Amino acid sequence: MLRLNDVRYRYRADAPWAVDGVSLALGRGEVLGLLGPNGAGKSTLMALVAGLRRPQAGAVELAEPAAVRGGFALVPQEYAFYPMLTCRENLEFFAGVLGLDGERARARIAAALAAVGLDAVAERRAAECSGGLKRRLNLAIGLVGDPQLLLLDEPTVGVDPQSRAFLLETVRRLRAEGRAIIYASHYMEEVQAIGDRVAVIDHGRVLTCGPLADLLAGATANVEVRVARAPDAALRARLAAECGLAAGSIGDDGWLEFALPAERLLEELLRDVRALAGPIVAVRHGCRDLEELFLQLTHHSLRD
Amino acid sequence: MTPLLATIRKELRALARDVHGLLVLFAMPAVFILVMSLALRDTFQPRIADKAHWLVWDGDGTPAAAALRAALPGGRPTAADRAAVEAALTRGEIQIGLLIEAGYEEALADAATKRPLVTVLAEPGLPPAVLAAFQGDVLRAVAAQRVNALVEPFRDTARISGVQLPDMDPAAAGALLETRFHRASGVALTSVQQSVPAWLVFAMFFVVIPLSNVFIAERQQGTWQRLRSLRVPVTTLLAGKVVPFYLVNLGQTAVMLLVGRYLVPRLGGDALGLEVDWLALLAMASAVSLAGIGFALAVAAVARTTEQATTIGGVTNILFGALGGVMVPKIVMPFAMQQVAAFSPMGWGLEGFLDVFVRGARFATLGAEPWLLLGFAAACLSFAAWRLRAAE
Repeated sequence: MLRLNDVRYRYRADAPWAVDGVSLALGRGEVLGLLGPNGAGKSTLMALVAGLRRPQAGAVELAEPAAVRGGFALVPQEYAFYPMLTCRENLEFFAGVLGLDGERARARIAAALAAVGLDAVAERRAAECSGGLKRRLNLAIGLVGDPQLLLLDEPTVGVDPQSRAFLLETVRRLRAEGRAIIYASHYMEEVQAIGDRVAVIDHGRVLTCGPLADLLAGATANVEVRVARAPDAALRARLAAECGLAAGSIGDDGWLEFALPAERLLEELLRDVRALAGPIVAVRHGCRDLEELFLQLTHHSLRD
Repeated sequence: MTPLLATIRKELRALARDVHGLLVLFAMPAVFILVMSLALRDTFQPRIADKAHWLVWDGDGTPAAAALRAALPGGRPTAADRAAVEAALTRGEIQIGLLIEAGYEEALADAATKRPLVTVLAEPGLPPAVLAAFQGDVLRAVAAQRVNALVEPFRDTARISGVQLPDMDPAAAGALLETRFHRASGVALTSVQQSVPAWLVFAMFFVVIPLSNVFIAERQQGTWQRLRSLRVPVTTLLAGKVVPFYLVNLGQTAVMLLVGRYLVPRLGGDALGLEVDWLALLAMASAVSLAGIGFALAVAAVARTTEQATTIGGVTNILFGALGGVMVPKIVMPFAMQQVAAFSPMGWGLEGFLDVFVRGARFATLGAEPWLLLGFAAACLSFAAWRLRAAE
């Protein structure tokens, strides 16, 4: 339904690429979780897919039925609706913009309201809705054109756990209906919960992309070890060479951080460290999850 | 439903619920029209201050002095003496004192007399135009009386000779002069004829504040992005703003005409004359409206925040208004400043309206002003469309 081929975009000729050679594909009934630190290029990528920007190199290809007007919908992170209007009036407006009217419009509005559970508050002004209701309205507007491709940008920001669970369940239902969804978020657990595939993007490039299980299986976990006696420089060099001690990883509190590749057992690593550095007094073992993978790929440095 | 109709309906719904915004758009100019029509009344049509503001002392006490008092408009109270007039002036109770000196009647008939027959004592802050109007009324009455007094000795002789000498009525001496306005609609330029179009133009341009704020909010909240992602053209989105605010501007026009026609006279001002070509009035209102809306959209396209838009739009509007003769009528500006007014879109609007209201312009005889306004509107709208596309 969607294919990006080596897409590039930058805001000025002398600026670095905001999107740098991204190639992705998305099929029916698939959720692609899009992760990246602030300023990584996620929003630019979404804008390129939504047609708000034209790629300066490469191509964005939308296949039927997403290619027709209303065939895809962008649901921005902001509350992109009119607070003075009621929920229904907002939906009527966007239905009108899509050229829907009469019975067809009424049916689509009813379906969109039902999809996000807004029937009971349809006549309430958007400004008077809670944060959770506003998020649902934001999504409902995206659904009014019955799109087959949905671009969801941080759709659960600022909502309570109940609303978040409802929204995630709604996304699952939409996927089950055969819609393709790009789901951009900072919440790893959400992407982990609903993403069929995950793409991690940073500095405009896709660092990794694939089914979550595959990514985690190939990932390197981190192990932090505290030994009884602080190692000197010579010992640190041996630990780095023989046990994978991460460069500059000794914190003020004396924890040593080691990489644990998928093919190596934790037991083996601890045995080797003990042999070189003496008794181990504490161990912290990062499990292989999406957040750990994300931090490994994008590093710990603060972004915007 | 087309995207344009949907956008227009949405804007109208949102506008109808913005009570405060609408109140500003309608109440602000109405208040200005009331205040300025009353405040500038004497500047446009100087007239003798009413009886509360002037006092006469009759030091002559003759029938001629009484006739002079009677010839001036209204029955004026008479002070006991000259000192009472001066005291009233000092206390600020009056602005003008008229002193009819002793020997007034005698001096009227003396052709050789050069001394003043009456004295006008004026408060220094009195507007010169009001003082001049008062002086004119007094002088006219005195001159009529003097003509009568000078010809009186010859009446009997003239009658025998079959000649009818004039007997001028001091109160009706003004009938000898008629003033006509060239290209006039039959309505003189009064303060209300000036204030209604002036503040109407200002109010129509004032949509820059609500319109640009709505527009910038759309961009900040992602609604613009959402609409553009639905492939709604920029021109459609702009047109969707133009139509509802055009209707608001027409509503403002109707309300301000009613204020000038019915409310201002109730508070002591003149009534707005509406003997106009309504098609010409609609054309001018439309041209001003489109110029104001175009300007608002251009500001909205440039500004990044509502604060910026409010500042840019507000300051520019005040400048347009000050230069264009809205705040200070052009007739009281020096000639050089009147030339500067020709560069203000509000000046074009005001002149065009005055053509309709005062100079009797018809649709076919409207001057360059509506075309200038439409050109300004087209330039602003084109700039806004270009800027918004470029910003994407």
